[in-house]
Amino acid sequence: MKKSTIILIAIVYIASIVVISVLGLKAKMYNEIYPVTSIECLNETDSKTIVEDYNGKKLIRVQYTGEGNIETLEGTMVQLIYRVLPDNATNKKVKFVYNETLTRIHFVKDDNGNDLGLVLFTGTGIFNVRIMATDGSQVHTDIVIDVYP
Amino acid sequence: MKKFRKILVALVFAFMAFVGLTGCGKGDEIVGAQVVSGTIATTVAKGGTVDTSKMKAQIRYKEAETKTVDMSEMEIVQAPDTSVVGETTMKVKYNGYEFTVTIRVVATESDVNSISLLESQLLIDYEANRKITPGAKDMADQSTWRNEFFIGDSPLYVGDDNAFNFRLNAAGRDGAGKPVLDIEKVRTNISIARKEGSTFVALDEDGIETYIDEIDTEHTTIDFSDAAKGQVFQVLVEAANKDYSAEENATKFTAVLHVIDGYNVYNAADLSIYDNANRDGIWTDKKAATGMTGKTTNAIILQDNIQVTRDDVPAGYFWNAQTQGELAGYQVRMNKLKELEQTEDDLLDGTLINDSSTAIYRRVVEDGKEFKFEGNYFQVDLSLFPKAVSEDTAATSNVKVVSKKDGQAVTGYFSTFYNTVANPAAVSAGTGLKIQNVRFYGNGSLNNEVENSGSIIFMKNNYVNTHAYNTIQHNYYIGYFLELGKQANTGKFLIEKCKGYNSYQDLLYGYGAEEVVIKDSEFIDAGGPAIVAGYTGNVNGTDAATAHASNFYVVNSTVESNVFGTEAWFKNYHADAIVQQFSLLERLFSGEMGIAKSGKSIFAGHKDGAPVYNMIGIIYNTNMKSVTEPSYTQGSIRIFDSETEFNSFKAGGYQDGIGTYGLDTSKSIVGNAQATQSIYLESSASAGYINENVATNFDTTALGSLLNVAIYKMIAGAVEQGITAAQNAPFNLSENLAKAMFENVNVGTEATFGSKTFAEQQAELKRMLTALSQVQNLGATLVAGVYTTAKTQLAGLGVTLPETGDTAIQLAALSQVIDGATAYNTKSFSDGEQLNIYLPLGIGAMIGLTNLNA
Repeated sequence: MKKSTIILIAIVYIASIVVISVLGLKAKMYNEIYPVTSIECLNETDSKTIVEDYNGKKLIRVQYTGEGNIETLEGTMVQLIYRVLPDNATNKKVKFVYNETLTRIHFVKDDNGNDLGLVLFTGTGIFNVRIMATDGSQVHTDIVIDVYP
Repeated sequence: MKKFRKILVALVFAFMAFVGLTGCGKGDEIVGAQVVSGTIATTVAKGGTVDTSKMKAQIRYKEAETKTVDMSEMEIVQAPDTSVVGETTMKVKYNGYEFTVTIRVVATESDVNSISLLESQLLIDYEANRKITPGAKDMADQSTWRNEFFIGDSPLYVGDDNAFNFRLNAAGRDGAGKPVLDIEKVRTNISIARKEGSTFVALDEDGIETYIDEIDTEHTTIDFSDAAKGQVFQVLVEAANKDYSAEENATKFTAVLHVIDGYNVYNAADLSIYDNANRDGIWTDKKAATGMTGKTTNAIILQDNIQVTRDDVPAGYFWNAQTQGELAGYQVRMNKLKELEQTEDDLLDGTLINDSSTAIYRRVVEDGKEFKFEGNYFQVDLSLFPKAVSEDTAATSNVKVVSKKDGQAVTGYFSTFYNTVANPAAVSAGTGLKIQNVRFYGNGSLNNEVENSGSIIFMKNNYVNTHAYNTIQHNYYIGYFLELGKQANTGKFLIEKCKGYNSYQDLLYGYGAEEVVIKDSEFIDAGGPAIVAGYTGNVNGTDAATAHASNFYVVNSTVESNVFGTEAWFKNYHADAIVQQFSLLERLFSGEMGIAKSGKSIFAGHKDGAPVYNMIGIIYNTNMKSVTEPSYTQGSIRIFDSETEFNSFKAGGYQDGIGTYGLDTSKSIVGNAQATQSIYLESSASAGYINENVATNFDTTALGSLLNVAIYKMIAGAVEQGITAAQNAPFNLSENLAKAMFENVNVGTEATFGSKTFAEQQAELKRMLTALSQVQNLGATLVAGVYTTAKTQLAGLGVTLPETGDTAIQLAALSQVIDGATAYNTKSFSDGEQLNIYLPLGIGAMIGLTNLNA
């Protein structure tokens, strides 16, 4: 290697040390949090449901064919599909907020009490459901499920 | 003449074209217009009319200027068609410029056969928001715990200053069976009963007249009278034309309402009633536009989640080229942003003016009264509120701006709420602020994005006694910011059953805050210390008049902030270099400095190879530009395991050591640090302390460890002498053979001895002494040498060893000395859960210790 090259490398190396000593290392956060900014319901029309836009709100229509049964997967049920944004949001867990005095709608939860987005119906009705973030932001999207006779 | 006429006509046309291009008023082309939020209802029932009498519009001109005009200057050129459900447009003209306003037409009951769904979104939200999940605290995923209140059984409060609106959701089916949603003007039957004793008794006509000013059964609103204050009512609302195929609860709901003196807040316009100071008239125009002029209240009660955006607050809170562009301050900041970010875009316009004297809502609490902020478990959401990109407490000199390119952060000063009293020197008993059952969500977050340094402070309380109860805050620059209060009936801040998370800087800040009690609460995760107890005196401590210390008492609460020490807060105050020195203090815990291994660590953990500290709090002088300046500092942070301990502390006259030994910069140990220019570490449990230079100055309460090391060195020295003696006459052994004589003694190295726990060291010393005594021909002599040295050194500690030449008695006496070292170890800097660190600069820091044996 040429002498001039070695000298140049040495200069850069020393200068780097000086620069870092003067300016310090870049600020680094231990526990980064990226909040939820929006939630989208992704349900689309399929063989069992009709999905429409109702004045900016997603309306999911399903015909009542009997009581929804988680064991047999028969009867009337809707699987809610959603997306939490941004993609790097720290906590993407959601909860479903609805009128819990109603008896014809049931949300299925896992053993830890987490909502699975699977909704069972035991009768007809119009149901407002809010898909809400659980990171404190209360970001949400509102949908309506119409279970018609 | 003809030629002259042609010239004249041409000139006239040219003049008209000029006027046409520049327009009237602002002398500029109009490029846009939009209705001012809150001046018109953009949702109307089918068949209804849109009330435009109070409509205002903001007109935008080509040269970025704006102007607000009211209805008298505008013309409706096309009214909205409200005969069909859906969206319709209204065309408006101002000064030749036409713009559209979108109106949403919602269905009415006439569009459906019957009502299939009648529910109150307010009640649904209230029930969901106050839910408490059993066991949430112990779940691995803490999101549920952090998002739920401590207390979930507070009743639903309703104010009597304005109508209470259930926020109805109504739906039905049309003739074809298709759902019709968002129905307005639904006929309902409303029954009201008042609680008498333990039962609800239906109100008769007289009762309705006494307690109700107005009921609107179509919009389901109830306006309670003054007489209703303090009463509890049960309200049943049922659809008058219900769908009988729907389940019973789908067409009715019941609520229990507690009526208090206050104003029901449904949106950001309502929330503006919070500000009663109207500093410099800043709220005058905005309140006039939203119909809030002149409205006052003794309490605000949230009835919905309130999102506050730029459009909801006075424009004067933001930098504006139109009104401030000529100011030197604007120019300096704008140019600096352009230069740093290497852009020609105006990055300053529309951003927050980051000034410590400003807050969105400013309230002067009335003397002798308590102002209540009742949340009903709803949220005030600032997530969409603009951030600051500059620091604006200084006019033009030393201006700092945010730079994404080089990671430069600013300090945040602007607050959401600012509460104070009219005259701090004369405050009556009972003056205060009570905040309860509210969530608050800020516009920052805890991550490396430097723009978050311009996020907003949650709440500043200046002098006014405050009781925050059952609140949750997320994502602010700083959470509760408490200021001053040595005067009578001021300076008492109680934060009880509250939660706070993810502050970019700190969770709790005291600016000369006399007494801050954090009780039964949880505050976790910040980009700096969890608590900053700021002292407001001058750095020399010579001006007693301005001296205010902050005192924090943490009672039965979790307060922690796990940090690298390289976060923006630390860099901003040049504290990053100091925190990196803390890693060297770990040697005092790990047994590397002649002190027995403590079983504790100063590190909360490691991430990506870097140490992490639980930085509970610091005390510093707020007039310091950097924590590397020596300063006079007063203040304290104390942590109590229970309210009983705290009460004992208070009953004992706030004496240090009752319940805990707090971080307190009034202690003499601070003077020791300054005198020796060394860092002192103190235990919160015993006040046991150690000096970072203990290896040379032995300044520690944990003398037992040093005694062990001293005896170890005596034994190691004796082994060295023995090896030398064995190589000389009369033994003349080779070096290897001489060392082999002492194999069983096995002293190892000082480092390995130091790394043992105290009990392990004691056992090891006794073993080594016994083995030394058993070395053939030399053992007794060497033990005698150790004994003589120990006798001399212990005399200095007041310990007298017997005069004896008997090896067995010597060994027994030395064994007693080794056991007795425990007596010198009753207090250790490491026997507490927190470590108080006193820096020679006058600053104090409290770090949470990790118990490695847990």
